[in-house]
Order: sequence, then structure tokens, then C-alpha cells
Amino acid sequence: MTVSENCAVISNKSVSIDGNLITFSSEKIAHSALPGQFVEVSCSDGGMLLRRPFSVYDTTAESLSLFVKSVGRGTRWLGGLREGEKVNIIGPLGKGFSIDEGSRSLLIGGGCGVASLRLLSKAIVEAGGECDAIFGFRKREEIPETIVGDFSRTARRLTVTVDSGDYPVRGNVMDRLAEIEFDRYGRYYCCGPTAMLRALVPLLSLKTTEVSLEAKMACGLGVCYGCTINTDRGGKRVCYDGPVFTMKEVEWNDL
Amino acid sequence: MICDHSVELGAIGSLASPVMISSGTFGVAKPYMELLRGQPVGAVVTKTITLNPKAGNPQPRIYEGPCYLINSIGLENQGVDRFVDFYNDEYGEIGFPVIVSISGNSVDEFVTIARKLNSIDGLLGLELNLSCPNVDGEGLAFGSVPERIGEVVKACGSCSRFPLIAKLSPFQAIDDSFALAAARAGAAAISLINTVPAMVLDIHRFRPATGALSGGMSGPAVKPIALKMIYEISRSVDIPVIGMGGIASGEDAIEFLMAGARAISIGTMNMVDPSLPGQIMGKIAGFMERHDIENLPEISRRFHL
Repeated sequence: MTVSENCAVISNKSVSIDGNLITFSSEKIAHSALPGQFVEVSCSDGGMLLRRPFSVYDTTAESLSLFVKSVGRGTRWLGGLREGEKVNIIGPLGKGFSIDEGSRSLLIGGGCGVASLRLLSKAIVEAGGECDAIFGFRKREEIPETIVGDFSRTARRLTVTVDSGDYPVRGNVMDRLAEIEFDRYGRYYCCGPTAMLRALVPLLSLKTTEVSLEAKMACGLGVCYGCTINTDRGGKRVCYDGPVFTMKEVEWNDL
Repeated sequence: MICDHSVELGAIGSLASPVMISSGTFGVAKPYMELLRGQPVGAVVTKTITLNPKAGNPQPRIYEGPCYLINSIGLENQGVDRFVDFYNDEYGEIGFPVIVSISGNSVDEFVTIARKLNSIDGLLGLELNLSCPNVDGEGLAFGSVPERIGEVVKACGSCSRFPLIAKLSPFQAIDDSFALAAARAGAAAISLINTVPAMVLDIHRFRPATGALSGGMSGPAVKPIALKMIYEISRSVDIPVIGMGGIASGEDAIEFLMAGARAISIGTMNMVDPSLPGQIMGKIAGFMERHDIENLPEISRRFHL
């Protein structure tokens, strides 16, 4: 059930050069959020008209965390929230990932897209499966170490790569895939920039692959059709029919 | 004192609350309905339905500026035939009176859609979205002359079993000629304003910032424009005016009622906060109580220069 909840900031930590991990008090949303679902955060106190959508990064019985990358005025304002400040959050929203019990999965994340894979990795392990993860970032400063640390506890093998600069593993996620037998997994889950997802299509579209898409949304509630994408079943709303789609169904040339 | 919060909308009948939800911002999607349920909503207006399915405009469809939103959805919808099926499957339980918004490229298209909607029972009315930029006959942009608006209203009126609301764009509300033409042709009410035609440019890519060349502007920035038009037009026509344009609070809603709107409709801000109808009604009720106002029309009767 989707609810509107006034949530107090429990903590707001800078975890990379442009990213914050914000934990809010929440009972109702945290209780029902499923892997891959998102929330809509009110930024009206920061002078914004529309809410901002974020994947649910993690939950406890009393809190939910979001990874907020600063990309504009709304996200910059959220990044500056102090402990105890309250914001209204609507959620959980959208259709999340599907999980096969006991499956071996590969998670592929790019940039802030890694955030949508955290609850998933926990659910895979809880369902008796195991997962490996490959995460790509543009440069070292963008790696959210706290978040990568969280994943290292659920992913069996975690590879972090950066496009360029001073870091032991350099190259993009495609380079890392080329180094492993990526055929051996039962399921693939991807979230990241469109260019990264599109590059993965030739390799993964014939496999059981799910992608979580990002979109500009007005309502986030399935009513305005502001975030429609083309699929093999016609136009679909990212906020309502997604944000998780099978890689196969998305018309990648139109994105 | 006991305040009456119901409104009389002429031939449309009576609404339990003056707060309506505007076309384009209402849908029966589950998450939205879960948040809207129980709110004091007098009526909802569906997204605009066209004769044939429409895929809508390319992305991006949404642009947010300070205090405004520009959308270029392009009337994405499933077409009237599938809408009728969908209505019969999904609208039964929503709990609010429903007005269906329709648009056509020609008088004939409007008429065909209106006829097909006669198969639905219990609609409160049809809202004619008359802002269509397409050309139909004599090379004139459809909706650019009052006579054409009158023709559409008259033709739909003769075939629809539901009362008609003529929804005017700000360009059709610059004076009262379109509203008068709609009223004379038998419209039960006028609603205004539709979004303001607007565009945004992406200077880094030398192209429009929306997928389509331009879109419609809504949100708090358009409110004063809407108020002026509602003030003028509600004094020209003798049918009710439903006022909308950037309403974001109870105070905004009271301004519209004071300017002459018989009912008000919320759009953009309802998407941001589906609990807005309840907040607005709370403010209206408190205002009426404080000023000893017995019924809603009295709010505008008290207005003076």
C-alpha cells in the first residue's frame, strides 16, 4: 500500500564527492518497500515544485535510506538536510525486481544506479541464492565507500571499476564483464546510466535480465504519463509499469 | 453556524465539494488512488480521450522551472473504444463523480467520441478540450475562432446525453467571445484555464528542452493569469465557471472562489500532494466559519473593489 509519511532525518552522511546517504525515520514505507521500488521525496521546503524520485537503498524496521546524488537544485537541497528535519515521502512505488529462489545472480551497477541493487542483494541472499556484483564509476571520488562496503557483505565477489584516474581497477563494466565467464549466471540485474545499459544489451538481452530505469517524473504515481518509454508492448510508464523492466522488452533505440 | 460546502453547477448538478481534480492529473493508477481515497473531491476529470489511440510525444515530456511545470505529454491515451472498456472495468469503485475530457481534430471526431461515451452510465459530464492546434476546415486552427467552438458544443450537445463543459485555453479566455459562444451553444459550464502554451530551450544542445517543440505551462506561476480570466469571464457568462490554474493551497482556492469560480480544480499540485483536497477544504471551511459565510457563492458576492 502506498502511503504518505512525514519522515525525520536520522542521519545524512556525505559518502562520495557528490553523494549523500540519507537515513529517514519511517515505519510504514520502510516496512513494505520491496527491492527495486522507489519513493517520491517532497522538496517543497527547498523551493521545488515536484517531488524527487529515489530508489530505496536500504530499510530497517524503523528507517529507510536513500542514496542522493547531487545533480540539481532539489538534490543539493536534500544533501543539506540536517538531523531531525522532516520531509514528506510517498512510497513505496513502482514494480521492483523479481527474484528466483536459490539463483546465482550478477548485479551490474553504474554510478548512483548501484543504490537500487542493495535491497535486491539482501533479498537474493535471504532467498538462498548468491550474487556477484560489478560496479562502475566515472572516477575514484565518486565511489561511495560506505555503500560499496555494505555490498561487500552480501555480494560473494564485488568488483569496483572506474572509467579513468588513479584507481587499481580501471575501465568500464563492459571491460570487467569481458574478463569473467559472465554466461554462468541464472539472472542479471542492471541499473545505471542509459549508455551503460544500452552497451549491455547485445550481451544480456537474451538472458534473464532485468533493468531498473531512471526517468524524469512529474507525479511518480502512474497518472500523468510524463515518464512513458517505448517497449515491445507499447508505451509504458517508468513510475508505474517499472522502474524495473526486462531488458528484452525495452526499445533501447528510443531511449 | 452551519456552512454549506456543496456547489450547484447548473445542468451538471450538485457537487458535495467544490474541489475537483483537473484533466491530465487524474488516473485510476493504484498508488495514486490509495492516496486520494477519502479526500473531499467533488468530481474528477479524466485525461483527455481521443478517437484513436495516441502514443504521445517523445521524451522529455516534463520540464520543471521555478514555480512552474511544462508538460508535453501529447495526449497519450488509449482511444475512446478502449477507454469505455477500461472505464467499465476500473472506474466502478473510485468513489468520485467522473467527467470525461475529450478532444478531436474535427467537429465530427468530437461527435463520434461523445456518441461512444453515451454507452457509459452515470457520467457527470463531458469536458471538451478545445485547445487543439490542428486545422479543420477553412484553414483555420481549430479552436482559434469562437464560431468553431460554438459548432463543437452544439454538435456534441445534440448527440451526448451528458452535460458539456467547455474548457478554454488562456488564448480563448483573453476576452469573453469564446466563453459566450460556448454558453450560447448550450454548454453547461466553462472551465478555465488550460495550460499556457510555452516553450523551453536547451541552449547547450541548440534544441527544445522538451521532446516536442513546445508544451503547456502549469503550476503556481500561472495562477494570477488564471484569476484575472476567471474574474472577467465569470461576469460575462450566466453559466458556472470552474476555475483552475496553479492552485496549491486553501488560500489559493479561496481566491478563485472569490474571483467568481463556482468550483475549483487542482492539477499539477494534486500530483505532488494527493492530500491537497482535504487541506483545501479544511481552509475553506475555516474561512467560511470565520467570516460567517453560509454558502460558497457568498465568498465571491463579498468581493468588492
